[in-house]
Amino acid sequence: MPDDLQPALPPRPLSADAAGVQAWLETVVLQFYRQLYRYALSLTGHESDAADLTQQTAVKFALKWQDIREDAAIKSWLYTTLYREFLLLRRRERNTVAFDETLLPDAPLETAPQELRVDSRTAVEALGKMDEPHRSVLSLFYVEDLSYREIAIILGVPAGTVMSRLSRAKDALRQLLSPAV
Amino acid sequence: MTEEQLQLLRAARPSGQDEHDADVAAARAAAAQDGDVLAQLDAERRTDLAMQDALQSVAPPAGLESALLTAMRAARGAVEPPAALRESVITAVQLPRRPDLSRRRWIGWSAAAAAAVAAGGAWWWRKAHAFTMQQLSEELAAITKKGVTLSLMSMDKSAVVGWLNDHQAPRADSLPDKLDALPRKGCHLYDIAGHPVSLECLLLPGMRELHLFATPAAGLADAPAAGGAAEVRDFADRTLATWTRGAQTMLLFCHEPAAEVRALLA
Repeated sequence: MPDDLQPALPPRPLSADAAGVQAWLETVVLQFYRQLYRYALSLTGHESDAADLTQQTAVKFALKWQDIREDAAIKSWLYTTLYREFLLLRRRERNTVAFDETLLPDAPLETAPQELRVDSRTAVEALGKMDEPHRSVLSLFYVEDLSYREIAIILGVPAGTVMSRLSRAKDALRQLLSPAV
Repeated sequence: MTEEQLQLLRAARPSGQDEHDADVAAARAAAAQDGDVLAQLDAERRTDLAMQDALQSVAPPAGLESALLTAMRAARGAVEPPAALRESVITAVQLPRRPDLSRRRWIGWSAAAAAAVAAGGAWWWRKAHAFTMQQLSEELAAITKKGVTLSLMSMDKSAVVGWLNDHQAPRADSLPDKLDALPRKGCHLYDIAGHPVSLECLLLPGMRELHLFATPAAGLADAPAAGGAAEVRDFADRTLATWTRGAQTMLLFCHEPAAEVRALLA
């Protein structure tokens, strides 16, 4: 959901107000969990893993919400946390299909078919065939419609790196989708 | 147009939110001079929109919302437990402090004596208030029905074991291989009427949870004999397996059929 359509967060309660804090935490999570789940699904390709990552992110938010100084940073904190949880999960599993970006260093843009239909399963599967750096960039770009600068903040990499990864990821995606269209 | 400008246009959001950016506008103007590039960018934008539509149409699974709220409440409950439980957990977590050399030695002896008295008192209290297996099973069945608390959520067995060790939680030296091979969901340390009881939540395929509790056998009036085979039976709408290894007694609660539990413990 674009930022301008995102409802404003309710005011943060005082820490001493336990019931108020709990209600506020739940309101925030309910506002973001759909997008977080979609992001997690686009990263993992598995519904159960996506649900677990979303839950771990929500729990971390419930425990560490006071570390987030400004409400404006909550959204990026949630995405960053989910991404870190994903990396931890992947380190344990190591079952991604690597995409060698050196194969497409200067791949020219090609014209895609005029009518492109992609269902959600195809989209998730295509992302799942990419390696993690490209998948994570493309997931945030598509799922959350984030700018490359916002993606850079969430992933903790320079904006230029995000731009080059986006270009390469789109080249790879075009190839992955070509049999489906 | 430059390579940087092309990358900038390819990184522009398909929703058009970046079009007001001066750099994007300049790059767009440069691209307008090259019909091929413009056509290629237009085609790529259609792909972007199709991918965006596909991914944003994904609906979270039913029940995720309530699961998130339950987990958050449980986590916060674990952070801010009732005073009695908090005291016992803190006692278990605190590490010995480096001795303060400026203090007199008798303070150390006094502290050691007090600790010994406290430990002896705790031992006496636990012995005098030893649970029966039936009592403990009922307590734990109630906990699993209500919803377990997980202080640590992790699928990593080493992280779970590390957390339990850090908190001096009771844990069997070894578990049956098939059981031990299961991924974890998390763990917790309960204090039930003065008895430390650890929980490891394990996961079967399909996110089916197994709740493995461990507690010192010495705190139980009728703990199963050490080294004996696990007893598997129905208990409070669940399957319960109990056994003792070394100094720890295990109670495994789940909804799986008894035969499947026996196979896990074989």
